[in-house]
Amino acid sequence: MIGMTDFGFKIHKDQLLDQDRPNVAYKEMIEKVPSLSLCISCGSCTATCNSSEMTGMGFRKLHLYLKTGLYVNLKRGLKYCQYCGKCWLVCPRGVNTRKAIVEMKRIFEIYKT
Amino acid sequence: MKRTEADCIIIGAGPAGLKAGTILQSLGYKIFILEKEYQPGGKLLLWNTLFPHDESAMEILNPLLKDQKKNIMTSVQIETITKSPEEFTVADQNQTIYTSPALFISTGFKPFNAGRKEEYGYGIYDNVITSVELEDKLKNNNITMTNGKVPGKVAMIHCVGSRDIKVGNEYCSSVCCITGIKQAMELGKRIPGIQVSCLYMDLRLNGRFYEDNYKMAQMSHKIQFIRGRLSETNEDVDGSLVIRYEDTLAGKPAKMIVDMIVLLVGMQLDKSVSRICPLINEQTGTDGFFGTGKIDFSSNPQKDGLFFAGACTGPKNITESMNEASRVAFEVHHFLKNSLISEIHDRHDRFRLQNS
Repeated sequence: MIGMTDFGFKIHKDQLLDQDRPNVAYKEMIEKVPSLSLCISCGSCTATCNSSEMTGMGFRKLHLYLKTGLYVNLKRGLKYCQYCGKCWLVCPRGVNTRKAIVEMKRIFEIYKT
Repeated sequence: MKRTEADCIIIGAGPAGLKAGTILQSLGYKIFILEKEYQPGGKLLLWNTLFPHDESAMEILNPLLKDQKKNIMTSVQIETITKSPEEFTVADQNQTIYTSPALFISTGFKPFNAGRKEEYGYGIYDNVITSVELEDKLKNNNITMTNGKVPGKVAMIHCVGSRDIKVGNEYCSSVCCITGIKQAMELGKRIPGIQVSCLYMDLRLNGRFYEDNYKMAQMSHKIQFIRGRLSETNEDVDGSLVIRYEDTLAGKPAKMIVDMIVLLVGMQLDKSVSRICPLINEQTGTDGFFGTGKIDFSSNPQKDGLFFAGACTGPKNITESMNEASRVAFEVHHFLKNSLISEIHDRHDRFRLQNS
């Protein structure tokens, strides 16, 4: 059978966030770090982050990637954390950011304990 | 020692206390309004104009003060408040004693001490000011920096001391968003070409005509709204201020150089009265303000004669404060009327007992 791809066309994956797919990692994270659900995405964590200036990453984005199931982006972002804990100091909602990052790393097996 | 009796003592001569005073006086009650400052008006005195209609604060205050002058005692430092089954006794620093069956607390709020958010640079850098100080500058029509120049670029920082678990104030102060927009527009009107940016977490413009103000700020005054919370302020060698935040909508950490920073400080309960009276202190809710914030359906809600209204029962604008004060004033009326009726019944019973 001949498809359009045979004539040089490409089929793109759609850009929709599939919110019907179960987000297992987020469920597990909320159980382990309940304060994570308090995040209001104010961006204080990113603004104060040591590595955000060079990487553009910050805890707000990590949380967003986790929540929306963008695990590939999340894994990429997680490795920039230096555990300085400044994000935890500035968070107006008291999210335990450092614990959340440790747990995320465990779930995505960036390091094993 | 001077002893004066009244039907109701009102503590705090702000908009709520004055409104309640006007109503209770019109109903024929004898009242006293005690004020710790040397002049009545409360926090209304700090403000130049009020949102959303740009009314002058004095134009709102003056009708409230009308016919009230003789009832207001200023520079009163209350030392003790005690309660017997019949009445409250309030004693001040001159040992003047006021007694009344009803006590109306309208002690209001105090602005958040911005110095507690050290990273914002208040009290460290000269051109970091609070919204209260900016209002004073607007009042004196003297919007200058410490070097005497007019600022060309200003950042308004929302939620300073509100919705922040790190300073212990987890509630929203409700009026700072619209105050910021009002002040930003005011700056735009007074200083041609000024660039004002508002850094917000959420814009909570929940009052009538507030949205119109928001639109006007965007359309007529080109105020920039940036969704991001300030992380820290630093001073450059030339005295300008460098602020860091994340533009959460762009998804990038950001910096901006401004001439002046205005911190929109939140509201906190003024504890001067609750500190001296355990009975009043008991009524403090989990957020630090008085009362429960619930609708009271009981027919006689305040049997003990203690009433609260105004910003001391939660952050409010002037309209809400005065509305609550009017409602509570009628509760006081109800309470006083009921106690009068029961007193007449008691006398009647005693009279019959003596003559039987």
